[in-house]
Amino acid sequence: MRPHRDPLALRLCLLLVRLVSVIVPTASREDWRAEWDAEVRWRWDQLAASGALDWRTRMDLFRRAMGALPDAAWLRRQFTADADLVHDLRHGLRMLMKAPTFTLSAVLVLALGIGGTVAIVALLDTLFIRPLPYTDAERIVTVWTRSASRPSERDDVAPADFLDWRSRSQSFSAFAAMVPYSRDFTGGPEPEVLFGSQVSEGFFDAIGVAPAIGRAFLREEHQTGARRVVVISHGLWQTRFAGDPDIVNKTISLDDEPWTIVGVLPRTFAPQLLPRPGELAVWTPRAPQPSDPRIRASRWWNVVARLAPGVTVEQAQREMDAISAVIARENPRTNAGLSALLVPMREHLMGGVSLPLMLMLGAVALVLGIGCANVAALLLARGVERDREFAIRSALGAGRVRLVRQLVAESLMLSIIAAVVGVALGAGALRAIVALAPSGLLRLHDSSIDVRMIAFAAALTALTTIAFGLVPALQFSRRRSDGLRERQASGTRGALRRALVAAEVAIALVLLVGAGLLVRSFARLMSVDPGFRPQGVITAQIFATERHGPPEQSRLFFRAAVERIQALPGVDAAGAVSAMPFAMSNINIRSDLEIVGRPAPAAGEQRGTYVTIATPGYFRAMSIPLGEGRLLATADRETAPLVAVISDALRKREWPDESPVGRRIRISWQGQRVEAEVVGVVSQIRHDGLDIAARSEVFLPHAQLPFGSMTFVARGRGDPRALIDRVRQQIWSIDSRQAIYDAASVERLVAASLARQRFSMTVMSAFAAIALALCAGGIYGIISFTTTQRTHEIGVRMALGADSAAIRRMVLSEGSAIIAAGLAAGLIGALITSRFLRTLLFEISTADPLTLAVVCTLLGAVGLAACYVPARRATRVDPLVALRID
Amino acid sequence: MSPRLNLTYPTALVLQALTRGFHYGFDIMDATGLPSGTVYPILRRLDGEGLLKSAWEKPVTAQREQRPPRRYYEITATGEAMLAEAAQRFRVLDQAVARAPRRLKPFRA
Repeated sequence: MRPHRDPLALRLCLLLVRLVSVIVPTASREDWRAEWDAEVRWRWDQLAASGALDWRTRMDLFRRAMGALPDAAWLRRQFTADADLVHDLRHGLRMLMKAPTFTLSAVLVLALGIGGTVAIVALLDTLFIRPLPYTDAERIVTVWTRSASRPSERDDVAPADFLDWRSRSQSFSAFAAMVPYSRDFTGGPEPEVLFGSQVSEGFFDAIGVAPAIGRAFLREEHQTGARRVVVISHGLWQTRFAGDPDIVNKTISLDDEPWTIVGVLPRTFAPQLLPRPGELAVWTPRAPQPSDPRIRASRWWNVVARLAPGVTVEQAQREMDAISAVIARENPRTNAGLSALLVPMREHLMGGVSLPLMLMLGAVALVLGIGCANVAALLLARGVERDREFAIRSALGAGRVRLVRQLVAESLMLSIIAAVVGVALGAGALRAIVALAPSGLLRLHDSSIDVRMIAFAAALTALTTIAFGLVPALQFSRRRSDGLRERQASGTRGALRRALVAAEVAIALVLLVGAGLLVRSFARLMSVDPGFRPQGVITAQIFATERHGPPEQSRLFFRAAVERIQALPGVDAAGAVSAMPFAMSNINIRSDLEIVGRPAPAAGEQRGTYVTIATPGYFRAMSIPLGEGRLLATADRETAPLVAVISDALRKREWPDESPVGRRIRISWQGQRVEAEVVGVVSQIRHDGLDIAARSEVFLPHAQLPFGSMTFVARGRGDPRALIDRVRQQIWSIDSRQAIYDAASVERLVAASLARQRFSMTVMSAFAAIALALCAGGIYGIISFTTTQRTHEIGVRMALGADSAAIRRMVLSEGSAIIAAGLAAGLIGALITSRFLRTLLFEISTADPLTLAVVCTLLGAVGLAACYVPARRATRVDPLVALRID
Repeated sequence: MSPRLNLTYPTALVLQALTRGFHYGFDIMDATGLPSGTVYPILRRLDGEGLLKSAWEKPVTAQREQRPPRRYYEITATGEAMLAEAAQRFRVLDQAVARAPRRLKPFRA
């Protein structure tokens, strides 16, 4: 009936009505709910229509919805003889109102636990339980290259390997490749780069996706010289074609050529095979190229396959291992130690997700544990306080069942309120997590809290509160009506309470240690020197291979563009580079390396290097320090002898004890051997992340080896966004149809590379802070409770001459015993569990003594502070008043 | 036919609101200033005693506004009589309930 989902506040009110409707007699339940639903919705619509929706009116609506509870209770009493239940509920509500501090803290504590759990369960549901949007998704595997020397890493696939794997294997019903290939799109408001892929025949069959509109590619469209057809992403269709329903057979301008759109992919299609899955993407058929069977050293293809019926992943992997071994024997130079690695689609999609997610799940479980322990302790304490009430009621003839029922009713009320608040918190937390999550976490934005999770939360709370709410009742009824005579708190119950609080301390310590380690690790990471100064530097990447292809034109275009950017007011230095550190989509060119005058290394022992093309201004724009020799210069022209600058990592590897300046090296460049003289060494430059070691790299001048895919770099003063804009204008002043991809400040690129670490750290710290607060509350609660219980005793002691320091010591020592026990248990727990963090930590041990010491001190101090308040209160006990009780 | 009804002040307020043209639960709350937890049990009780009758709004009206139909309440003759009796008892009744239904003007773009 309603096209989109209701807002959260409205859903909460409706949820409350729905929960309460259980009380209403079955005969009139449906009508009752319809009436309340209609009133709440009507009110909401009125408020929304008149623009009066703010937190006050929302609260008012919620208060009105709360009225459903007395209404339902009234009906229950009218329609059944079960007056007891109504009485219990009313009594329960009254008891909760009478102890607002208890009610508020219990609700808050439970709601925090429920909120966190519901949010995480919603995430897990999206990632692991909901089916993937592909036909028979469990039969889809992604295929990667695995190197025996680095078995944990997955590399892309070389074209020749792909062709051999496809022709020699029997295990797959479809085996297809996807080749990243960006396209300049000139049909929009300004030229832009669309993420694209060329797909081999059968790709959409392999991945099990049919276009939502139109069709996939035909067999003949994968032939060389076939007409240009394209399948576009849902995002592109929506944003650039306004969701035109007659999109099929319209044309789109890509790389200045008209292409015919034959299909639109569904919104859910996000195979996460590209380094950065674009919202705006195009898919084109790939015709086999004559060079494909020869390229084995460069790996950039992504491969997807569908298992044939009856074949398991293990069987297919065994077959591919055998095939890989044969290929390695046939091509020892390129393929020694390489094999094909099959990764099921779901596992691939989980990729970097599972670890941080498991971390969150663990943290949430711990917080929920603390929450439950806290509420349990609260309920136990309250039970003791109410011994007298039970005793009186029991003396007046209330049976055991009656007492238990009353407590259950009370707990139920508590759970209902906590569940509603918890679901609200959970929805907020989910939103925060999705907003915080690194973009690699796929499909998270589809996460939502639904009825199942609300039911889960309700069950969870009901279980906790009822279980612990019952303990006092059962214990009381076991002791019968001694309560009137004896005012002693039961010893076992006291021990149980203390153990619960000690457990809270222990759990909080585990979380705090985890958070502390992540914070320390993050600080270390931030202090890593990237080898350049990112402040004030902006980048703009372009792919000009088509538009300015011929070497002479490429040279002219890039020289003119760099000169114009350099001439901008406020720009200190400008240059261009083929592989920009920390950029999302780099063209990383690898080559084998030969040093003139040294014997060639044996097959399989070659060590390659990255080859990067740069203009002279690049090093100055990035403030990359020179180690020795000189940088690339404008004098290194086309006609001058070929020169190279190498990275410090390469120097350390190849010339550990001597200067490389003046040596000659040979590398492969676009299928040719080129020889260059090393003229300088630059410092270590981190390329892919602050936690990834600097790479060996050879820089060659763009003027001597022109290259089409370059990133402009400019160092300037003032607002980076304004600078980016001016740089773009300069590029368009030379070529108004040149698309520009990914213009950003380098500081942002570096920060983005830390997204995963920042995410883990933030989430863990948030949970640790909640745990610390809960734990402090728990300690405070238990100590002030026992102190109140001991008012009489304290009065006697003071009457007998104990001074306030002695009383304070007595109370504090009880608290410190609990804290110490908790810390000891927590330390052991932390040492065991922090091992799971190992892969997330950077240059820091999981048993980092400083972290452990700081965290223990912090927790101890907070705990003692929580004890101190009741301890001070105890010293103010007036012996006369204390002794007069009873 | 004088039902033995415990005619409290809030009950009289609700009856008064019904005669003034407030027919829905939430509207009656607005008119009387009583909380929902009071208004609804009173409505149920008056319904049971025959002092008012309730029915569902026409589905057409509700569908036009894209919301579920609301339940509305109307005072009966017995209810009117009862209210007259109550007016004797509670002199301030007349001022205590808002005059005409306060309608929030629906906004349509």
